[in-house]
Amino acid sequence: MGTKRNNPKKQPSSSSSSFCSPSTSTLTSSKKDKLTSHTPKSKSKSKLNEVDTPSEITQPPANILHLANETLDQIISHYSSDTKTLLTLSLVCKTFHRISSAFLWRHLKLSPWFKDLDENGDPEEDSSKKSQGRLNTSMKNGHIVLPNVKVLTLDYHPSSWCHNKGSTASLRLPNLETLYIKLQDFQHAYDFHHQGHGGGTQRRNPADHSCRLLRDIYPKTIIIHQVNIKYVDLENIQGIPLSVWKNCEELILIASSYQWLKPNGQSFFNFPATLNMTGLKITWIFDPSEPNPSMGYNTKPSEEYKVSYLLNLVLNHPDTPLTIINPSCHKLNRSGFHEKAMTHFSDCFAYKAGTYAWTEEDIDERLGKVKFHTMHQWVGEQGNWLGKIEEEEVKRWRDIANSYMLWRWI
Amino acid sequence: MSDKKQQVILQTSDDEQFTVEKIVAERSAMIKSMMEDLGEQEGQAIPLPNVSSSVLTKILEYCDHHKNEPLPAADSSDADDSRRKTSEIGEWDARWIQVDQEMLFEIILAANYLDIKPLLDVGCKTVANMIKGKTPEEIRKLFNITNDFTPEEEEQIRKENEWAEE
Repeated sequence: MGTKRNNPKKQPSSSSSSFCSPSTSTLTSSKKDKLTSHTPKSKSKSKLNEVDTPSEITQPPANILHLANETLDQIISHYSSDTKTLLTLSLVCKTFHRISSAFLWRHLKLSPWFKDLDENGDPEEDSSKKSQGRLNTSMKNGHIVLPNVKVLTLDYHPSSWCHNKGSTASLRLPNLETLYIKLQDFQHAYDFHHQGHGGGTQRRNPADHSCRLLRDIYPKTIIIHQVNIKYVDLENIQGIPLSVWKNCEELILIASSYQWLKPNGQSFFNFPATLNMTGLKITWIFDPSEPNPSMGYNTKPSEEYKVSYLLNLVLNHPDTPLTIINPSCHKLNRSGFHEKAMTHFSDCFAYKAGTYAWTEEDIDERLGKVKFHTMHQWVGEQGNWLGKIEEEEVKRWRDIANSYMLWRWI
Repeated sequence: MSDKKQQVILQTSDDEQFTVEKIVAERSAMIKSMMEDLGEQEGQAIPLPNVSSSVLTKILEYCDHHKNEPLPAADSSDADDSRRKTSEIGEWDARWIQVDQEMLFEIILAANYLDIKPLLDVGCKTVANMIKGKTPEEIRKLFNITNDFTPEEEEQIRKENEWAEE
């Protein structure tokens, strides 16, 4: 090791950045005395000195590929959210490909839509992404890259999008943890895999048209965005095969569509038979960015009442822990609404459970498993969203919720 | 530094012995735990078979400069994350780590072996900054890496990467 550096004086010897051979220490003299005193070429008599490395052995110069895997991982992790650099790194060599793939493929987003809306306000299909739905399930490096996928995001898409010239092969993601599904919101039906233009949205047996990409997917966490607060029928989402719920332990429902809510209105809840309700945790998030401002007048009477839509869930699934995020903080928020919403919910629940002959103890026990957080609390405590929901999205919610909080002073 | 208890002897791969202030040597979590294991046995040299004297000299400069800073918590991954996220390198550290590439990798290898986390971070950030904005070919050239892909494999990766592009 010691023989390979034959020009130790390459650096200016006065600079603190120089390195030195032991006999010509460049540490300032005061430091040298204090810090190190060399005993050059002393053959130590120490009993500990059994690991004598022969200094004659010439090792190849240290190269980046000699670094430990974890170190390379740490270096490349600086670009964990910089797709462009990761793509570059993946083409350098096999080692770099393996490491950058872990970051590149961690979150696989298959989305057929532009962010733009067409003239009718509908999301526009992105033709350049048409081939994404035809994800080649036999991709050559699939065994390297696909096991890296921990989060899969799928947007509402036409069923034609994920067909691959009649192929029925499914997407295999052995290490998938989280599935994030964005629905299109319908008044009374959920449609994930719509039948294309003209095909209409008539209800069909979901098994007939289940999304090919989801057929072999068994995530632990399932996130559904665009849940209609009045009608939560997870069993009959068109395109989602029932098998997808099999291993689900955590359900995060992000509610939007607060139109035409009534004080003390009720939701309809229907969970898939394949979903194991024992041991399931549910997080319910009231998305503060919905509805759009023009809908404001519809929501105004029910600001603090919308949380009561969850009463049936608490009543019918008494063992399921429920965390409610942002129960009140919404447009036109007033101070104290969070507490008001919590009290309102507890009062309504106690009353309702009483009519079903629940004892006070049972009621208290049930309410003990219901937690309320403001958006700010939940985001700040880095709740259970980390690594599941994108940080940008969560922070956007927080900022919107916070801006409503400020409004109350105006 | 007359108090002998405040000093420790380190022995490098090329058999140099360094007498070092304890507070400086303790920047290395590995040496710290070895000292704890050895107790206060005077004159016992701690062998560092993976570190050469030139690298150790360099690293001791770093340790000496940072000796009065609080040691990072042994197992806080949160702190790790926040520390790693900021790609800023301190002014002194940046000047100190201006070395040739071979030395840079030796330092990183040694920081890893000696378990000096903040130093490992500085090294990793330095390498990460070198990568920025370069093409695959430029990165290969910079680090003397052989392209071990066949043209077919390279083409395959380009194709697959289309999926990952925004």
